[in-house]
Amino acid sequence: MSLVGASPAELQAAARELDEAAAWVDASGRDLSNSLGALSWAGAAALAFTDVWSTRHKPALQSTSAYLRDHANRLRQQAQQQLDASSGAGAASSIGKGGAASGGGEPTRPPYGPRPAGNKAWWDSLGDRQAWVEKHHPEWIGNMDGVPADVRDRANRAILDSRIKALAEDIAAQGAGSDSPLMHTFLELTAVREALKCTQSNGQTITDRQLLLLDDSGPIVRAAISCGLANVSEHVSVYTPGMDTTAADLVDKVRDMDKLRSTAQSMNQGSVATVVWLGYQTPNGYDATDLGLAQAGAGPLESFLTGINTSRPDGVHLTALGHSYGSTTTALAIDRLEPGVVDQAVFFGSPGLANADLSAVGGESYFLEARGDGVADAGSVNSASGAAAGGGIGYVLGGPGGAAVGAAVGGALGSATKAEMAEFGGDPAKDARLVHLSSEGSRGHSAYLDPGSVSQTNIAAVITGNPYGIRQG
Amino acid sequence: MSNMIGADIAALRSFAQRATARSQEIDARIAQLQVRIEALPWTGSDREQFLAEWSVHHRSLVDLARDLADAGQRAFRHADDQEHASGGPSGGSGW
Repeated sequence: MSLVGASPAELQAAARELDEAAAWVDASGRDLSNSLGALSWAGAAALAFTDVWSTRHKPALQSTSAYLRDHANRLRQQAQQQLDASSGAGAASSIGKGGAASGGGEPTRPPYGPRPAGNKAWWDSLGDRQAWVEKHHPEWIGNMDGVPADVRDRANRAILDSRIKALAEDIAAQGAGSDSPLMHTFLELTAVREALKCTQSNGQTITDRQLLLLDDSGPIVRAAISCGLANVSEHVSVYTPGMDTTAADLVDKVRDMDKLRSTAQSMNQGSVATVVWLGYQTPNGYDATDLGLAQAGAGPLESFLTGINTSRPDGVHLTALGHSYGSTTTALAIDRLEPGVVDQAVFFGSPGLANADLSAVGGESYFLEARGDGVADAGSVNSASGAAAGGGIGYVLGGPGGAAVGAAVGGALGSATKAEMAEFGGDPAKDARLVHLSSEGSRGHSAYLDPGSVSQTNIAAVITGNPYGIRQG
Repeated sequence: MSNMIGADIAALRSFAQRATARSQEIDARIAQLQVRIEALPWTGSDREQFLAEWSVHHRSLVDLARDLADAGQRAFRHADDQEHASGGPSGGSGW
């Protein structure tokens, strides 16, 4: 930070101003959410504002608030550093970055698209030139499956910062509107940055997150974040979420992974890292009956899982977790996996596993279905009436202002019935390959990862390879 | 049913008032914020980056104020329409 002539008191005052502005932004967002929540669905629909609020303005306000607080914290740190320096306690530390090793000439980019084992071989071959690649070409290695997770994290964080800055400048230069693709990408990237620095309930900053995937080259931002260190933890899980999940939801998803990790760590079976993988485009409710996006996501997920495993010659106990449509994607990825990469799989709230071959899973494949989970019930649409399954989906999705959307999706699934749901395979509840785990006490489609629930405890037990902690349903 | 409609109309009016008030408040507050942010003690590239990012957030707030003003106007209008429809000679129906 470069600051000229500002005293610690001035810096602290400026920090307070930014915090105050952030609090105002938060309060405005809450007030508007409450006002909208008081409307009936029909009333809200008449305003044509609910969608634009939830998809654009609300995330934008959250991003603004985070931005203001982030800079307030930086100002406070700067003030503290000045105080420390003037008291003589902390002599200014010069950051001595070692010169990039240059032995053997500049490395060249590896051939595009090799398998993770080939990537690992290339990375290992670089020797002391790895630092040069990290510094000059983070874009080569950030998403390279087979490269160690800590290296990918450093590369992707560097890319993230520079992309946010570049996008902000482009948006300003072009005068791009808040509904422009540039702004959309900007908001998703700032959400990724926010998810990387989520804090625990006691306010302590969590520092052991890793950004294992970052790609904003397409219409959506693809990202994967690990809670815990995926390059050294004994147990690693990779969770693939389902429909209507975007990078803007990563703050919430990472929070779920934090809590899952806490539960798993408390079992004293060794260190745990829980990854949320959003490396594919999830369907929105309207096209959730189409397998296409799950099939498109299966290849990248297979490569990612193989990459985690390949980059860990020390061995890692790896579990694939899939929720909702993400369970279908996970099953299709497992179908492509070499045996021995994934040790276990857990499918929860699953509409179906698309007739995937699960034999590559080294250990067991598990299954959870909570009471009143309409999405999971859709898997049984072949035997149930379409209208009943549709009603179930409508109930599940019927959040604030979403009742009509839910009903529409329910209708779509209801009319899809056998023809479309057949693609998803049979009802996973009747799949003899799966070990059923209890989700006692949970209701609906979105409570499986609630802290302290039977379902979350069971999933954590699988992750840690602790069969004694598992309660069968 | 008529109670539901009455509740909707009241909620619409309440939303309309809050949306309009918030829109005006955001407009006023953005200008103040802009001044304070320009006055922050950043310099050099930090300042450039901070201001470049701020311009994006600034634009989001401007757009929100505009959309809120529009939504507030629509809410007032729909509340009026509903009231006339439900109180009209044909008895009207809800949404």
